[in-house]
Amino acid sequence: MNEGLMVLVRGIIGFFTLLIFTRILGKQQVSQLTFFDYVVGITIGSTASSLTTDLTSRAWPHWVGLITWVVLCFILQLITLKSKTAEKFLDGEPTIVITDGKILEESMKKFRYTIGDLLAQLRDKDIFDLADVAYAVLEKDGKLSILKKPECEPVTPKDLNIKTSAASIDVEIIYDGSIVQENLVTINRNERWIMNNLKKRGINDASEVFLAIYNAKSGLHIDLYKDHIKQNNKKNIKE
Amino acid sequence: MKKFITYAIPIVTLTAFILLMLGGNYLKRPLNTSENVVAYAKISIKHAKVEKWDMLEQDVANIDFAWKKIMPRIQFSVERDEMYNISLNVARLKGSIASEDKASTLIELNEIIEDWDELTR
Repeated sequence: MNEGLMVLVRGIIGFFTLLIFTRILGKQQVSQLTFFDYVVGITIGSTASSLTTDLTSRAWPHWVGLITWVVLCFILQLITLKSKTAEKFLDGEPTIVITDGKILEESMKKFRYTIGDLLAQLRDKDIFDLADVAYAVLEKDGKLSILKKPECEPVTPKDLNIKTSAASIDVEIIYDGSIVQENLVTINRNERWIMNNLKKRGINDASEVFLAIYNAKSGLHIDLYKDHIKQNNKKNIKE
Repeated sequence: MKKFITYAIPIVTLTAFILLMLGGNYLKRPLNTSENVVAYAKISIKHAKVEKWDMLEQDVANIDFAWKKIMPRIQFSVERDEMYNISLNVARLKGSIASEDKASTLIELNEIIEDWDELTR
């Protein structure tokens, strides 16, 4: 009987089971964590931990406990996906806590949401004056969404009738010295094009490049392994 | 193919885990006669009843040998304390045979059989 080996094997079982189950549950667990999701996450993690280290009981009951919680969580996810009423009942619903700069105390009381929490979340959104807020909505996961009054919104190029070029996404062409062929196809270019661009900049081989990014708006950006930072700059950094 | 692998890997992994966790019942079965803990315990009970202490010394050595062969196989499927109980039974059995104590020898042998059944219950 080797306890270390037992914990190692049970740890592998717990780790990969948890990995598979969290993948099944999807991204909702991370991005939209309600209080209930939070509690479920802690319970599942705690059960996996017992599965690994609690040698006084068999691994199987812990594993069954783990799968029970995950399956129930998965079923609730499916129910909330199908039924709007069930979603309201199980996950709660967003609540308006400020209208036209006025705090709705009754809504706040209903969710035991304090004025301190509200002011802290407003400050977090760079709002230091309640009068700037047209609507503030307390989301299901406890985050505050804010709609500022039109006169308090920052000016955008659209307001000033300034024409802007369409935004585009960066595409990795070379990563860690290797050319990413499928991304070259995406931007309708070939290997010869990238090699010509490298030669124009005095680079003989793709292996010298750490990262090359193409953006339809700004063109090709290349970062080399050897950055050739001036010695004076290095001294300044050390100082 | 990619979709098949995406589904196959977790299913195979989880199945392997389930087999490992529930395999105790199968793995504790003796692969040959020298690993048959229960059979040795039952023979020992017969010997203890007629107080054949020389034979019992050999029997307890056989039980100890068989148990030490089985233990590594089932360690991932059973409780540590259940395995510990059988090891303790064997140790106490050695003592009771050495002191030629019939009552405690029979108690320990019957307890070994009960603990053995309890292993994967």
